[in-house]
Amino acid sequence: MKSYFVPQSRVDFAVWENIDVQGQAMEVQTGRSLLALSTAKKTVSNSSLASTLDNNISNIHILGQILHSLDLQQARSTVLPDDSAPASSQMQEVSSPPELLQVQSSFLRGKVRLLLSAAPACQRQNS
Amino acid sequence: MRKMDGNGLKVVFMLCLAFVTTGGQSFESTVSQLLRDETEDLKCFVDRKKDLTCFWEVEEARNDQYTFMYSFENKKKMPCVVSSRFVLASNKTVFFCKLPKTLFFVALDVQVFRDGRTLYNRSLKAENVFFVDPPRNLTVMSSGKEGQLNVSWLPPLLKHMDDIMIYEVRYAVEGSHMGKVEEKAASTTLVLRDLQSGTRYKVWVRVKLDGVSYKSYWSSWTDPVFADTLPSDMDLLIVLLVLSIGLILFLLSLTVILSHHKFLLKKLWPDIPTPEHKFPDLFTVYKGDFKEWMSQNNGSIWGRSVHVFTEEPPSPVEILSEVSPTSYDTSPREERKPTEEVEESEQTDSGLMGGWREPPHANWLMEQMRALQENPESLSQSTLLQSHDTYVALNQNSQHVQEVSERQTDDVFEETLPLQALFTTEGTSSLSASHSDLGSLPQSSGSGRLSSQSSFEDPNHTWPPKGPGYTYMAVADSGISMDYSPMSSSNIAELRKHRIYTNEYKNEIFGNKWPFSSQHVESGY
Repeated sequence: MKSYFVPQSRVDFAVWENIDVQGQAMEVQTGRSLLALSTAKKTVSNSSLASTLDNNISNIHILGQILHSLDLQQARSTVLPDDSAPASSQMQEVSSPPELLQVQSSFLRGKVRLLLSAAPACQRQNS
Repeated sequence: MRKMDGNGLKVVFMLCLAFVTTGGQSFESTVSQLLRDETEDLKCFVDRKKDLTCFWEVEEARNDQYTFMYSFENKKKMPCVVSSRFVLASNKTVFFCKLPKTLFFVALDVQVFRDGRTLYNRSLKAENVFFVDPPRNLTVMSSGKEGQLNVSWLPPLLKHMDDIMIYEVRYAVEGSHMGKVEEKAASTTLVLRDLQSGTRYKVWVRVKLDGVSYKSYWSSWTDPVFADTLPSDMDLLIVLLVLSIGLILFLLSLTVILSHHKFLLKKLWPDIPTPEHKFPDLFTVYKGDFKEWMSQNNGSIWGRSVHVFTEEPPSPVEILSEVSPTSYDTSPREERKPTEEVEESEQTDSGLMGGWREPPHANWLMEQMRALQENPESLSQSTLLQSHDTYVALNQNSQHVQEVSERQTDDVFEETLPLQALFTTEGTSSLSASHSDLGSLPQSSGSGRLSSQSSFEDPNHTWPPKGPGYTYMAVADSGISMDYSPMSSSNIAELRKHRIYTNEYKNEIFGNKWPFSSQHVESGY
């Protein structure tokens, strides 16, 4: 049974607010990479689902570019994207594509958004 | 111990203070609102401190044992301590549990057991059940334009989520139940447009999260804020126009009144006429003593002005008249006679009274003639002519002497000869034209002759100064100040028009008594 290694999407505000921006950026980057690897696995037979996953790949790459423009991209990821067992608490394993997409959605809405909204370039000018 | 007690009290006090200040919206108000809005039996919400609380309603206060279990990401289930509270606003009792730690963006499973049996079971995500506080510092002001209001507020205190809030502004005319709603995303200001001028409005605002990353219920409405819109420019304009027009009218009327104030004063407050100017010194010098004043003045003024009206012995006036050579027959003579007589009298004014100016109207002629005919004896008492002078006219060829005691002003001959010719007695034959004495006139046959016969026969022939053959008409001024209108050519023409009328009249009434009515009068020299 295929399993997908996906990032941890949970957010504990008490913890998150204690992590500095770089730490937050690393978490986001690691998670993005995991998602990129997982979605690249073309193991689905359903054509519609396959097209959705293909769109995800492009979106994830766009996210990488955004993070790079904000100087938040790490040069190297500490997590090796391979089939080795998840060593970090920042990973979790899911068994189906729907679960993968659900985690991806939560990850983007949570950690990614929190990181980007805190970036100075993305701050709304308070009138 | 005492120090400990003192310190302990301070801590408790601080905790209580902290509990109160961190409230925001109180637990009870949130619960009461969710009791209305949330459809789930097990209601959960995340407050501003990002703590999740679940509660459920209990109808009857019984001593049931509730057990609350929860788990994140299908991990190990953990218990939560259940408490109860009476909500005054809803008049209900609720049991609730506040999770010690809340994780977001992960699945949460909650279960409630009552006496060992599952009461509620719910799976949710914490980021979807936020309950935000209402906006702060709502301010409404006039925007300076007609029908507009500027609304501004501050977002509720919620970390990381200022830019993902949606607001709803509700406004209505004060006292009205019809309100309008406008949505505004992210920005905390709004301009209300198309409002009624000069009206007081009520404004409320509420907020919720945009639902992209986080979801929430609608917050409660803020307390209403009142504001007035500017009055209509049109109303102001109308008022200004009316005032300015009124002012202009007032100034105009004032100008008119001032320019004609004398005239108006005369009309409204006329001077009481006083005769003082007619009586010089009467009131000033003689203090109103009329007798004194009269004696002093010697009646000079009165004499001048009233000498016309005093009774003077009438002086006979002889008028020479001559039949006019113009084309008319005998009948108009009578009308013309008074005219000519008057004219003559005016021309020779030395002894004449100035009262005569105009012969009377034809009607008057008729009446006079009728009166004389009816009462010939009263000729002497005739009111018109009080003259009692008689004159005798001698006719050269006639022995008849006409006596005329009365003269009529209507018996006039056109006079062309001067007055002194009257007294030339050489062969003068005068025919008494006793036209004023209608009744006493003898019959026409040979009774009188006019020297102007030729003029009758030959109207175009001017009256030749053939000699002293004149017809007389004596007019005595009886002192009657009758004011006749001056004879004018038009009146003469009118009299001529009455020719027929007069003629008929004479023929009917007087018949042959009137010597000149329809006869040619032959004059004799």
